[in-house]
Order: sequence, then structure tokens, then C-alpha cells
Amino acid sequence: MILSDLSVAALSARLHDPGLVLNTGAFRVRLRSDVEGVARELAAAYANHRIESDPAIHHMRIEIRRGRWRGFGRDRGVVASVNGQAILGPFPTYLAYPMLESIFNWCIAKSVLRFIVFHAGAVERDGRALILTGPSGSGKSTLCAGLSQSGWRLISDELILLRPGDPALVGNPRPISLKNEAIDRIRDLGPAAKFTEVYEGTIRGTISFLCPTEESVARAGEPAVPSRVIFPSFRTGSATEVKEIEKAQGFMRLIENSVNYVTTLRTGFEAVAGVTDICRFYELTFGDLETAFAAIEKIAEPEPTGAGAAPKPTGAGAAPL
Amino acid sequence: MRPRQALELAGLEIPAGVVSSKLWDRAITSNKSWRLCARGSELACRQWQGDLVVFNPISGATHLLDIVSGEVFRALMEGPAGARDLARRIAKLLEVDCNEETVAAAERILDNLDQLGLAEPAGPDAP
Amino acid sequence: MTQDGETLVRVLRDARQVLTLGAAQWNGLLDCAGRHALLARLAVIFEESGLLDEIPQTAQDVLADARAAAKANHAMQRYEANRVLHALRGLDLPVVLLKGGAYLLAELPPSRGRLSGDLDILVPRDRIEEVEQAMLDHGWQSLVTDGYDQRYYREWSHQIPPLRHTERESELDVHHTIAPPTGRAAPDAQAILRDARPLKDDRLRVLCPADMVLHSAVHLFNEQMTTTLRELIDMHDLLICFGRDDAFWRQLMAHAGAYKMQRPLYYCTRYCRRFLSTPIPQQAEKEIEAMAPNAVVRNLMDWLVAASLIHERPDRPSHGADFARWILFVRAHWLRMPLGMLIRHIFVKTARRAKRDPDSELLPQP
Repeated sequence: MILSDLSVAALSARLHDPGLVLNTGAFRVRLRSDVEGVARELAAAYANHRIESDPAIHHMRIEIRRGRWRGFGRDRGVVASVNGQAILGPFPTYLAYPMLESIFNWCIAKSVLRFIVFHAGAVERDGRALILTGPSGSGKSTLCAGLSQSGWRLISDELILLRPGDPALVGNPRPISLKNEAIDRIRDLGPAAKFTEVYEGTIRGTISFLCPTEESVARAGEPAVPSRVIFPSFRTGSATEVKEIEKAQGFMRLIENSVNYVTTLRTGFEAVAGVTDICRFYELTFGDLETAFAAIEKIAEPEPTGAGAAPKPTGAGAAPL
Repeated sequence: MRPRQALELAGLEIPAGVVSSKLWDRAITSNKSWRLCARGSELACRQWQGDLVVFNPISGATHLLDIVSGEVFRALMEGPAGARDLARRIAKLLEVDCNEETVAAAERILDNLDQLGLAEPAGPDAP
Repeated sequence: MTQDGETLVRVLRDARQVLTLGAAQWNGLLDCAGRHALLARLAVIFEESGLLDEIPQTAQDVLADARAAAKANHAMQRYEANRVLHALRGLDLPVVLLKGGAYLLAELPPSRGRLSGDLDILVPRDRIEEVEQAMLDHGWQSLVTDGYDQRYYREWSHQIPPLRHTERESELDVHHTIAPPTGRAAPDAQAILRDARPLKDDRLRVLCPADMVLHSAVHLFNEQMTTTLRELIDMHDLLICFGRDDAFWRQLMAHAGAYKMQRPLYYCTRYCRRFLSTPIPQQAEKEIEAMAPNAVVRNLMDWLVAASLIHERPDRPSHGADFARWILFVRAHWLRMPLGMLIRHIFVKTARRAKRDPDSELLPQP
């Protein structure tokens, strides 16, 4: 059953009790809320996602509830809890849905260790995945959103999950949080892009969430092997520039952008080393989306056959010393 | 290439004139033996284009070692060694003469590796 | 104790009970274990019983995360011990590890899936200043800058003010004995240090089995009363591990008497047996029974421990459990210092507490 099979009223009732168990690809999250409007936003943002029938075991439980009564005409606010422990609030009621997304991210970043988690976005086409990573404001979400609207499948945004062993990225396509001008830039790409409400006055300015495409959600169960790692940096008015960087440097920059690398110990080291072996690393400076997308398409081109699918590691290479 | 240039290229700052006399004194008075703290299967390292990335299972930290530090680390992977032996390895790698500057550089690298929990003194005065 | 708490204790006693759980009970179990930092412990006992593959995938995922977190925590603790030795290089001083660090480095059963926040070490009292100075020289700094708190530690505590490493932000407690000098217990620090056993790395030692159990008991029933189920499990594991040896029980009785720790020992065995079915040999049981308090105190403790052992919702504590924990807090502190000191201490603490507003920096802001 997918979420759009439920009416908003039925969804709302489920959110009250016993909660809605949403399957985002890698996680089963139980969402509970008595806050008006949350059901409507979830219906828009997760329309194509699968929901589990209860009773189901969940990975985590997020509750957004109305706060205590604070007098006539005043916003009661909402409070959030994770697995039964109050963690945040009260905060303004109209921010209930964006806060739910933030808390979901926080849960993943804080407790998930079976994947190496990076502050990044990832998209895939023809079995080859691109990782876009960097600090907030580097434009990675905007690029990820744009690519997901033009032939690339969204694997995940904001937090990506690297499964040790293969190594492969695990699909967890969730709504992409876009900020300020980026919202209109992505709207401009065409009417296929579907958004939630626009939220003004958050700590990051105006935000809205882009719904992942039907295909991205349908193929969430397919892991993808990364082939390129891109470190974008958006600079107003800048020309688009691409610079390939050395693998060892790329390795270090990649782990700097991980939220749990240090905690995953040797498992994490081997997984990121595996990614480093098969990927090439690029810095991308850009000032406009059009040329940035063109540059990414060029970066993404496979090596000509004969040279091998991946560049050969030099020196001692892939083998541990 | 002169040793100073080579060491500077390798990212090792040697203050002009001083040549770390203290380090040099230490180096000539004791060629104490150093070894890696982590021995065995959990220590992991990879090399891409010369740079060495090392996972230290004792601290859980990952370090990027430049080409000279990496050479010292690799030498210690083969077995315990003193600063002067290591200086010879550095000199050979950089194709320079082995002198007080290379020994001082080796001492400095060892000191660094000690701080990071990667290497420790071995032998009779080992902790 | 609520239903989830009972399920947790039932599963801890007998791992196979988990096979009978429905989805809703599973959610309750994982929640409750998470609150008590026992998820990794569950993962370990399921693995030891060969059940890991038989439990639902989602539960396996949650337990795998907890297991990895415990593994990282253990690596961190080992490194902290390594860094302490590094800082004390040349001091020619044996370092005795206490509690979590000791269980881990001595590879004792309580370390299985056990998370530990800080490292505790014991050193001879007459060398504690040298040790503190060595730590300060190697990147640790005192967490207590407040003059009152500093004085409190130096005069009334069995440790120097806690230290924190400026880069790694790890905490280190340096003790000179295993119980506060103001309590009823009267440990002989010199004898305890003499009895300590060297580990494979002979720069490190751990307390002898009897002292290790007594230290844990004193900590559990005289000091803090938080995460008590976790600590009760430590006791349970130690008693099973050491209890196979008759000499252990003889030494335990002798040291409990010599260090005036009979009462904590009595409580610890009583509640281990009651909640975790810990086996205690008959002879030892008879001797421990003689350490019991009067019936009124015993009944009160039974109620306090049962009420505080499983805390259901930290955000909405039941009044009973809250009260029980408060009484235990007062009791713990009363055991440490004279009544007049206690009143002053609580007053000062309370006045201070209100000024600070602990807020999580990690959390997203609207």
C-alpha cells in the first residue's frame, strides 16, 4: 500500500493512533502527530512511498505533538519526541512538518551505524552514481534536485547511506529541502517538480520540499555503485569551473563530510577506501545551474572503454600494504 | 636539490639557522628504537598517488601522511627503527644527503606519530 | 515496573523469551532497552544464544547499530587508557582501572555491549598530585573551575575533580580510594592497591575480584541511583564470573567486613537474585543474610529499588519513580557526608542548577 491510497482524513486518523509506519527505503519510521496540517503535508511529500501495515516493528518513532495550552490567542506550539524521549520544543506550530524532517535527519545522523552516513546527496543513471557533498550552502541539494528532475534517479539527499562491503549507496529518497532562490530555480525546470508548502522564517530562511519522483521512490530498493564524487561550491556570479583532485585528498574530504565515519572504525575506513578506489573526485565551482549541469554531465561520462570502467589506482593501489 | 629545499617541499618546516639543535642533540645522544603502537590485522592503510592514508585502530582516527611521513611509517611497518635509520630512508627517498636536517626531520615525524598514538619508543626504555 | 520493563527483564534473564514477542512488544522492548543503554547488551545475548538470525530484520538493524556504537565506545575507552599511560610515561606508577574500563581491558563479562562515558582510574593517594599534573601537562583540564565544587571534591570525595581532555573531550576520573571518605564504608586504599591484579599489559591493573564486586556495590547502593538496571547487570555478571571459585566468596565476606561494606553487598546480592536470578551459593547466602538491615528499612529499599530500576519515560516520570529516585539521591549523599554538610551541599547545588540551562546543541532549530 502506498501513502496516496489513504485519504488525508484516514491518514490523519492513523497519525493520531497508532502512528503511520512509513517505509523510506532504508528505514521504517513510525510517525505520530495530533497536529493539524501534518497529514496534508505528508500526503504531498511522500505520496508514492510505501506504508507498512500495523502491527509493524519500526526503526524509530517520531512524535510531533501539540504543546501545553499557553493562553487564548497564543500558539500552543508543538513538541517533538524520538522513541518516547522528548527532545525538542515547543516550536511554532506552522513549522511542524519541516521540523519532522529535521528530526528524522537527526535520528539517522545520531543513531545509524550500519551505514556510513554522509552529509551529501546522490543520484544515479545507468547504474553509475554521483555523490555531491560539501557544507550547507554549497548548492549540493539544488544540484541534486535539478538532476533528479532531468533523467537521474534520486538515491538520497541531505544524508546518504553507504553500505559497507560492496560498497554501494542504499536508496532512501525523501523530499529534498530547498532554500530561498533555489526553490524558484527548480520550479523553473518544469511543471513536473512537485513541492510542499513554502515555509518562511525558518533559521535557514524560506524553505520548501521537493517531492522525489515516482521512479526514484519505486526504485528505492536498488543500491547504486558510486563512480564520481563532486564537491560543489556555489558562488554568485562565478564562472563554472571543474578541477579534479587527488584520491587521497578526496578520501579525506569525503570523511570530513561524514556524520558517523569516526564511529564506524575500520568498517568505515574500508568502505570509504572502496569508494575511493572506484571513484574520481572533482571540485565544482559554479554560479549558475545551466552550466553546472553541463559540467556534471561531462564529469559523469564514463571513461572510454579499454581504459577500464574505473581509473586504475596508482602506487600500491587497492591492495592494503 | 638541497636537503632543506627537499624537506620544505615535503611540507616539513625547518626554521632557518636553528636546525633544531635540541632535536639534533637528542638524535645524536640517543638513537632509541621506535615501533608502531598498533601491530596486527586491525591496522589499515592505503596509498593513492604517493599519499598514505592510515587508519589507527588504537585511536580510531584516520590520518593522511605526506610522502615523507608515509615513508617513515612504512619503514616502521617493517619493524622497529631508530631516528638515524629512518633519516637514511628519508634521504634515499628524496635523493639528498643524510645529515642533521634529515635526522631532525625524522625525529620530528616520530614525535608527531607519537602524539597521534601511531608510534612509540621500543626497547629497554619503552613504557 | 511496567509491561515493557518486565519484558526487558524477562528477556535479559532468558534470551529465548524474545521469540514469543509480537511487533508491538518488540517496539516496547527496543524503546525500553534504548532508554537503559541496554540495546547492545541485547544484541550480545541474542548472538550468544544463536538467536540473532531468528529475530525480525528491523530489530536486527536497530541492534546492529547499537552493537557498532558499543564497539566504537570500547575502542574509545581503550584509547583513553592508552593515552593515560602515554601521559604517565616515566612516572613508574601502576594504574588501576575501575568500573567500565576495568571490565573492558580485563575482558570480563560485564563489558559485553556496555557503554561507558568516562574512564576511572585509581592511584596511590600520595602520588595523586603528580598524576594530576601529568594529566594537565598532556591536554586534560579540570572540569571544575568553581571554588566551592573544587573544595567539595578535595575535602569530601574519593577522587580529584573530574578532568576532560581538551581535544578528545573525554572525561577522566582519578580516584585515590573506592568509596568517599565521609560514608560508612571504610576501604583500606593501600590494601586494595596491593591486592590489585596486573593485566597482560602490566602497566595496567584491575581490582581483585572481591574488591571489584564491592566497589560496584558501593557505587550502586551508596552513590548514584541512575541507570541502575545496567549496573545491576554488571554485578550479576561479576558474581557469575567470579562465583565459581569458593575462595572468591570467602574473600568477598572478609573484605566486606574489613571495609564496612556489608550493607551494599547485602543489597546487591538481594536485588541481583530478585531481578536477574543470580545464583548465590547457600553458605554465602547465609552469611550475607546476617548483613541485612531491619525489616522496615528492607521493605523501604525493596520499594525504592523496584520503583527506580526501570524508568519509563524520562520526559514524563511517574511521581512514584521520581520520588523514589529523590529519596535514593538523598540517601546516597547522606551516606557520604555529615547531615550539616548535606544540607549545605544540596542548597548550594540547587541554587547553582537554576542558573545553568542545559540545552542540546545537536538538535535542529526551527
